[in-house]
Amino acid sequence: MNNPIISITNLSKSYKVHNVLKNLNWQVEQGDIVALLGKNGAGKSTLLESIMNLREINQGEIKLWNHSWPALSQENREKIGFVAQDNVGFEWMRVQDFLAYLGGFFTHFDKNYCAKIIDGWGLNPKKKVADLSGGQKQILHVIQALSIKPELLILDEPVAHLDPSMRRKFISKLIDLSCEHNTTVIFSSHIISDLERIANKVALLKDGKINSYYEVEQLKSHIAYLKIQSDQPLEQSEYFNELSNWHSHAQGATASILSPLNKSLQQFIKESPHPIEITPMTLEDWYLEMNNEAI
Amino acid sequence: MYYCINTLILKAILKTPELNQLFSVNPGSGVPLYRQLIDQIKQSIRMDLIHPGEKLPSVRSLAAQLQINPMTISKAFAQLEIEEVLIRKRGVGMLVAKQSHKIQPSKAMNQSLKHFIETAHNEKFTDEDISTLVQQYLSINKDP
Repeated sequence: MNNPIISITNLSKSYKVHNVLKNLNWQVEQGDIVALLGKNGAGKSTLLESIMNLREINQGEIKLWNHSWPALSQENREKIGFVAQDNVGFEWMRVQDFLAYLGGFFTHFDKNYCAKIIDGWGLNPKKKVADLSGGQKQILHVIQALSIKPELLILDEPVAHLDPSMRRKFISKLIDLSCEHNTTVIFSSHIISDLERIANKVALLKDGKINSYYEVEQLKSHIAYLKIQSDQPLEQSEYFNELSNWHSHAQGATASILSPLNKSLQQFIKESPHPIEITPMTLEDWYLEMNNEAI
Repeated sequence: MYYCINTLILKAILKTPELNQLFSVNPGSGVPLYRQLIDQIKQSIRMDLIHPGEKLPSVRSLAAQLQINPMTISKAFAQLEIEEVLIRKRGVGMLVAKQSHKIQPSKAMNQSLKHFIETAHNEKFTDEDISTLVQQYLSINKDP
């Protein structure tokens, strides 16, 4: 990787006796839009909050722009937009006051740009935060993060409470940011259809580590359900050792491809000693298979 | 003949389509988005909906229209550039190559297709059955 914007080495974090993150290694490249997937309780929020220096870690190193947090310049700190999973707004403030207040912490905060974003989302700037719906409150925090024109955007389940049209708007905003500023985005979400659109990379947090980190399109080019045909039951031979969930049947076997192969899928099928029939696998299927797989 | 009628009907329905609206992608299908886009661009060229020399929408506008990551669009464009279906013109964008003969089926292929479909219909295969048959054949059999 050329110049990772985030570089994590050997990260471990426990809550009392519960080891959430275990020797986690991860690097995020500038300009990528990364989807962070993982079961509830897998540690996604812990990971994102650790990256944001909001959690004390037990072991390991986290570097942003090649600097650890204490050494991170004010200028770099102001390039980071963050939306936590649970956000507390100051309920008595109006939308525009809340955003102006938070904006005040940023040297280059642009009031007019912020006003444009508020307007784009259809939020009433003069409404009190307390009077916003749950979804609107969530958007408020997304707006806050976007309004500082971030180079790095870290979002913890930012669209969980948004209706489909709001989610589309959110995706549009990410596309704009990506095209205009080459913004790096990391977001966790359970809404896989959104991820398939907007993320170019996907990371799966499982058992305290990120062992699956792929380009979305590359992953999707390979993941599939396979039916390997033979006139007798087949054992998993060397040729098929990259496959998972191998089950022998009377007429061959079934298996899944859960990670990019060493060669293209077409080539793999072409060079196979036995005929293979494939059924495409969606990203959601993949996620379910990965979490079900007994290792 | 079948192919010509198809094109005429499509042209009549779409009239002068906004290029952006020519394409759509389905994130939920198992097929990667860039692959879907590549196929659709080729299909549009094949159906004469976009012409040699014509400029495709920018990465940014297509990304906004389709609501997908701009890198996916770039990837599709890059692949089509390698296949010489599109040409990158600096300062302008991606243009449809003049000689897109590579994606036009030959006369022989059109005739084979016609014969195959007619035979299948005679054996009472529906259009869906035919599509499934082709898919299965392609995935089971080794390509030459």
